[in-house]
Amino acid sequence: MTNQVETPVKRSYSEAKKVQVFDGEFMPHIDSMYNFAYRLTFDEDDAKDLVQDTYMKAYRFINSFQEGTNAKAWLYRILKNSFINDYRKKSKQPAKVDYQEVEQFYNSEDTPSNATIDLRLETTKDMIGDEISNALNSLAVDFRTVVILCDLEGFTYEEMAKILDIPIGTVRSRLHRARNLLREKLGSYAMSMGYN
Amino acid sequence: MSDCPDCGCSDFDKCLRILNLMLDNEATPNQEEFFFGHIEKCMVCFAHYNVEKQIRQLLKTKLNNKDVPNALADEIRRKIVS
Repeated sequence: MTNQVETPVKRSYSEAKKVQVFDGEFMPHIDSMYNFAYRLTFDEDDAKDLVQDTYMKAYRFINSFQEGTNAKAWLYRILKNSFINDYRKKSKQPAKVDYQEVEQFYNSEDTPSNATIDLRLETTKDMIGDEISNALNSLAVDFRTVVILCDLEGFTYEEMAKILDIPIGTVRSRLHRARNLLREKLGSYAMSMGYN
Repeated sequence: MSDCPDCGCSDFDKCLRILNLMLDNEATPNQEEFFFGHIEKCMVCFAHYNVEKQIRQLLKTKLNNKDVPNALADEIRRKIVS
């Protein structure tokens, strides 16, 4: 695999240039980064700390970043690694479910048929948004991450593989499983919205 | 011989695989052509395609986003210049 993260080429930006690159290429993504951090941690303070750490690291290693390349993917990669290394261990997130448990739940024939929430009667935008958020947040973090990266942020398989340090085949299979789980949770609602 | 005994679609596994690629903009033009041709004749895959599309649309348009705390950007800038 070749990208600017794994095979860094050291540059030597001046202090003024570093700030220019930082402001011009990194800071415009702060909104996405904060929301990604919040969806990983479910905690506003942790999300804030995680974003700060990410930007500090990005600045510290800015000489490894080539101006005009994919800053967003680079920041996502740093944030994801910071989350795994620093935050996941002391995570406050509720009801964390591991990969195996999710697989077992999904494959179980005992899965209750009423597990899918029927949202047809819920009409306000906020309530819909909450339900969508709940469905996404209920996914194990590895599944949630690929959905965020792919469906919300529009990263390609190749970019996701680099951000997450996993093979493209694993990206594909995680996405496939994540979509199956989301369909379990949101499928009836999606159908009720019609598709004519 | 049907790939999916429940729905009767003879290409269900292939369609699912292509559908997932299409959802991610990773399908080739040939795969897309095959799939769109197929769903004209297969209601099961047509419905599947539309539910998946709808879920993605819901995620993109209805998901509640958090506002970035006002002071966060300033705090970060202050730290990098200090």
